[in-house]
Amino acid sequence: MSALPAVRGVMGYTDRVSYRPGDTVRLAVSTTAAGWRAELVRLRALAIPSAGVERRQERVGGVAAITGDGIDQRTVTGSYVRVDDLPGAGAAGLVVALAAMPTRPGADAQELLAHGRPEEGSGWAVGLDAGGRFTLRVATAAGPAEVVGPVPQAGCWYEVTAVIGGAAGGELALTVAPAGTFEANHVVRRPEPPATSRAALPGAPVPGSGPLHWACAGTDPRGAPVRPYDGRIESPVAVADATAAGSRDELARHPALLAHWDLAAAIGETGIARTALVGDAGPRGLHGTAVNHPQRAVRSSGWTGDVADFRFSPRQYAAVHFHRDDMTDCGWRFQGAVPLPADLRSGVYALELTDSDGAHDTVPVLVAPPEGTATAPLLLVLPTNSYLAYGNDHVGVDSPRTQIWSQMVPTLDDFERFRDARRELGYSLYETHADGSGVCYSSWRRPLLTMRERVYDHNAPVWQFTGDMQLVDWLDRTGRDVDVVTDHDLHAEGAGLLARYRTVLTGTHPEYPSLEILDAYERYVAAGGRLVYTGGNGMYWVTAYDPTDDQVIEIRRWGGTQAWSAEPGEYHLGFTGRQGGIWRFTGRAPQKTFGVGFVAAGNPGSSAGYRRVSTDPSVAWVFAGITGEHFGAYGVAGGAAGLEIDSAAPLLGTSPDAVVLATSVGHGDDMLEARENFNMTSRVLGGARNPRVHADLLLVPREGGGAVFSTGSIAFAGALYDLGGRTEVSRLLGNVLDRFVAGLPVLDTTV
Amino acid sequence: MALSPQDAWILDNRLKRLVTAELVAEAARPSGPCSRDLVEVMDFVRRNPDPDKPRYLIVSTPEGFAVGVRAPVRGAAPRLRDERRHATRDDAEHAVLLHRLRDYGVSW
Repeated sequence: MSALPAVRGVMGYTDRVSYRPGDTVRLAVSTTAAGWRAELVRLRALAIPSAGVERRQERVGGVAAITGDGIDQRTVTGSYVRVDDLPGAGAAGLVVALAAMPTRPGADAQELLAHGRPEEGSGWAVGLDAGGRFTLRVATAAGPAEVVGPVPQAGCWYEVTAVIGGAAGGELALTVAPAGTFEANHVVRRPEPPATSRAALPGAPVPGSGPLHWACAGTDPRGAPVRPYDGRIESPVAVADATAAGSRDELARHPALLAHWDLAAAIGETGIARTALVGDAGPRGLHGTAVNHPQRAVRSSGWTGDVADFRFSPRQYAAVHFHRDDMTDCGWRFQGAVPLPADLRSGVYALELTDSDGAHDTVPVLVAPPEGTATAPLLLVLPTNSYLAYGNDHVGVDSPRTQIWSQMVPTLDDFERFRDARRELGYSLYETHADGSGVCYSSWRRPLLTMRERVYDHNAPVWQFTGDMQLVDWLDRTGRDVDVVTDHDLHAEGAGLLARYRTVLTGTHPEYPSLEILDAYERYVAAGGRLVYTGGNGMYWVTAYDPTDDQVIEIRRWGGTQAWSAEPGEYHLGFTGRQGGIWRFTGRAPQKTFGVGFVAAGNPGSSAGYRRVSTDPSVAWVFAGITGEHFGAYGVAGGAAGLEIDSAAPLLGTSPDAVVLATSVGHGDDMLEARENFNMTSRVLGGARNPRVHADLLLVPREGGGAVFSTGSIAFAGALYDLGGRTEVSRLLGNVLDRFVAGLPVLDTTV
Repeated sequence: MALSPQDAWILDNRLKRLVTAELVAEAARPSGPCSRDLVEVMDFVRRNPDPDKPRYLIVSTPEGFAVGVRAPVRGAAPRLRDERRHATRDDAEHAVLLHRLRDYGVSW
């Protein structure tokens, strides 16, 4: 077999999710070429080669191109905690105690806590050696000293106590005791007594200097964690007295206490408000800073299984989970700044990036209208949380299951090979870490290469951002003025933002709303607003923003159709404390506001068209100009009803006032019912034989003239093109938007 | 790691009986609905039941579509299975099926 050469390229990201006219866009670029150039363009359409759709864009006048020297910017992965100003061990020695739950013992040497670098002549480290054994290493004046403990069982807790004497001949001891409740441990272990390994210090300990690190030995000159750790650490204690003894609670009361990082203390009624802060309850206030979002609000060794909300028992969640592949901030150097004109129209823009070797990238720039204003009657809310959730996913290549789903072997062109090789850019929320735990954080502080025109997706020809550009394209081609905002804007501003518009459209797959976003939509329509839900499987996962950094979101997967499952008792979001999983199980099924909710998902071959079912004359205006009973059996994704589809469900909250206008018929067996919708196993899951597998096109009249029109399908936007002269779907959406914007009654009682 | 006992049974008692020259010819057709037998065969090999067997992908090259093998490490460069280039993606997809059937010792 022959190896393929690496693909060189250029890529970039900007400093914010959303901008306004007059803002400055800062750009970070990575390339091995000598230099780069970027110019601002307005994106009106992205190419969809399989449907014959061409890219349309134009350069923004009055904005000068920017250039920069090429930097091969490096991204480091791995979460850790840094604590400054910890004193080195003194003449009285030191005791360090913690509980640890390694998840990958034996996967290279790892450090749990390290102050200095014993191998370089100073400090101490408690960790795991390359064989997986617990170790305690200390630098002494006579050379390094080490004691070794047992190999832990992955996923199980241990109390680890390190004793470092203060002088030559003093004791060096490492005690490892199995710990953790039946519920907190991954497997049942044989009962074993604590194991203590002892040695005499060959020389006086050489105190560590510089910061104390959790989950690594420190960082290398590039900033990368050295000997990173996979697993959990629970509330370490450090006491400046080698004779100190007892439990960690007892050590925390010792008069020579140096520090007690009490992870339970960070938990409040609204979750963990300062996610990067690791607070020290000791006398010196040696607070730590977490880097790259190690997971918080996770079970610690004392979890008993009788509580699933960490806010109600912080001591059972006094731990942090580190992964050597965590990454929430590339930290690249920003080189360029593009001032947006004060009169720039709201819309989808991009920085068209070209390096001096000829490589290209298109970095999206999403521009909202000026603060407090609406500059169009229509508003499109781009679901940036969903872009984050799918950001940089490699599921199509990594998971054999997706080949069954898509019925295709993944195809990699040069761009996809470039993207595939950039794993350091962090995972999507559809993947798992190397230790098997689900990825629950995603960040905008990195290139999101899934938001590119050429991206391969195992789901469909276009997906998320590229799918939403179908709406941008259609609105532009049909001459409809529209403002564009993001999930982030809506979360921040709420219903007041929507209230400025006659009609609001969602994107094609707005799957990850925050509570504030759901509230905004509901308040808008309850106050007479008109909402068009132009998607499928929307408003599904409970999502929250980091309270100190809104470019990072969190989810916990359980109860839904899901790529991974949260650990038992870890269903609540650390960022807010709210129960995670799907909104349906918090009393907020999407059917309540939007009339429809997720029912099935399938590949493009299982898509279908709609059949008109409503003969109510008061809603006949929706079908004006559409003559046939069946429509929409075409489109970029094989049919207007496809990919992920939603249906009405009175049991889940669809209003009795809702009118089902049309329903999809003729799905293939690859359109499979979502797991949360059938309670027992079933032989009949596929759409060819399962009547529950259908999308409903639905109108919900609301109080005060408000209304919701829902398409119940991600693929709907792909049928807005004039493919083969079929225009019913385009005409239908136009009818709805025109009537909604005109403010005419949604139920026409004049007929 | 090899096939699980369950997959070994499925391979011997179902898959090998389903794969015929006619079924392989059906698989070579670029599109259209598949027979139930072909769906079962495709589903089996696509889920990569033996993790030690190659995990194929298709690489688009200037000369055509090549059959590649995914590296065991996430993100490492794929390798090309052979020097052959296929004129269409569908041709490469079919070539992958034939490789997979041979990997599992299926003849027809």
